[in-house]
Amino acid sequence: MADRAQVPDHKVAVRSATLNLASRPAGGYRAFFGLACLAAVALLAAGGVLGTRLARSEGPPEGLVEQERRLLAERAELDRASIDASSVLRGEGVGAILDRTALLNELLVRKGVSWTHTFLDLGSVLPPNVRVLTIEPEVAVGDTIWLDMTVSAKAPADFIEFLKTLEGSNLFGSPTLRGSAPPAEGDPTYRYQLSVEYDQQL
Amino acid sequence: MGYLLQALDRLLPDPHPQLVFEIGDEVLLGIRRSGEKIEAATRQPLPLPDEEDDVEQMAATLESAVGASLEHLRPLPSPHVAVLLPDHATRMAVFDFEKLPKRPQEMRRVVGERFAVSLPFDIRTARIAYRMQAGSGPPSVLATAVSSAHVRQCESAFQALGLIPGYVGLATACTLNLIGSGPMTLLVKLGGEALTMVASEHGVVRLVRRISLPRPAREDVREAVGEVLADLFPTVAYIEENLERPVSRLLLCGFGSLLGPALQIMRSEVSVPVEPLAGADGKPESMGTAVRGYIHG
Repeated sequence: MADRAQVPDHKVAVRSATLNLASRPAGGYRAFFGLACLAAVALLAAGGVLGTRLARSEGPPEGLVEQERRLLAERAELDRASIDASSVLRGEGVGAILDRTALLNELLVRKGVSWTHTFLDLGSVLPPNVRVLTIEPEVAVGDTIWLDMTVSAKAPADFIEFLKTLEGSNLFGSPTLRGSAPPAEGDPTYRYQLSVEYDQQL
Repeated sequence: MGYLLQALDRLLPDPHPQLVFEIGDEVLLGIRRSGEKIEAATRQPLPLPDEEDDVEQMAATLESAVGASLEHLRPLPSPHVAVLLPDHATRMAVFDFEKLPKRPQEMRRVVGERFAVSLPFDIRTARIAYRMQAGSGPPSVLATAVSSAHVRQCESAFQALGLIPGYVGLATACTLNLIGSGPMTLLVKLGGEALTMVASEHGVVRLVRRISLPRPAREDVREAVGEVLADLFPTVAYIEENLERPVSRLLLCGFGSLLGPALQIMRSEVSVPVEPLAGADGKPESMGTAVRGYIHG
């Protein structure tokens, strides 16, 4: 029989297992399951700790109970105030106020201007020798009303008096003079263009 | 997470598969082992396809042989298997470097470039594995390459039967585990139509040479051994001249029925001690030494 080489007892440097050509090389299963077990143990431990704490606690903390009680009392008080306000709104005399409010709201929604009130208020500040030739109301930002007017006056003094009256009135703001024209052939009056803020009171 | 898994993998390495298959030229060897003890072994015929490039027939034949092997290897310990590929389907080489690249991607690219000129398939489709060798000389790399399509074809045959081929290696690379770490040893492995010679010194592979030989004719033993000797003598001379180490022994592996005559002829014509490489059971056969090498390694 031929002599035969003996299988060495020791591991040699050529470790064939390192030359792995597999598409999905083996390895890491134990590591993966070890890591998964560690994670599971950690989760179980955390769950146990939380469960123990929950079991030991007799109820919710005192601070939370007190806060809940205070909030409930505040809510009851607000409910009572709401009931009182509702009863006031349903009382006699409130109907007229509500109707007027509805009218005002409707006007605001329409951004409309009452011509009747406008002419009445202008009539209270116009001197006898000053006439309004044209008037153009405009609702500006903030629901303020501006009146662009052209007025005629027999003399500049009459117009100045008109300006003073406007400034002294609570219904009108400070007027802004935008232009003027002297008397011309066929029209012996002075003409002025001005703008003024108008606080119409309905 | 990846680093943690790698650290744990080093701490808790997976056991090697208990099912090992070695694909031969016309036979499939399968074993079930427990540690280094072989509990069951079976050989199934693995006929060559009618046409060499008939991939589908090769896969079907392999799947059939694996299925028949499993019947003899039951009970199956786990679906994980190691598959050892024959030498003719793979390439193995040693590359010397003055300085090894540090980054793995660069290392793989360099190894691929070294392989490129010698591979019979496109390097871009090659699957490459390598390991750096520590020795007294310059740094070197032991590398293997195989066509990805061939690996996938083999793997699919096992996967179709519910097995997980997590290790696919080279038969010769596994056989090296049986050599030991003595002075310069030349492993001469004849299997199928491939003659593979591997020079190893103190556990470091210094030279790999693979030659295609026509299948030896059983009736003309002396001529067949002569063909091996024709390639063996230049290799021994090359080792002594270029590696500056005398070959201290020759280990024969495989050869089949040629082993006895080859031993007799070589002992008379080669001045170096010649021995057959044997497994634990002392059977000096090509088929099985790779499996035993894998188990031992």
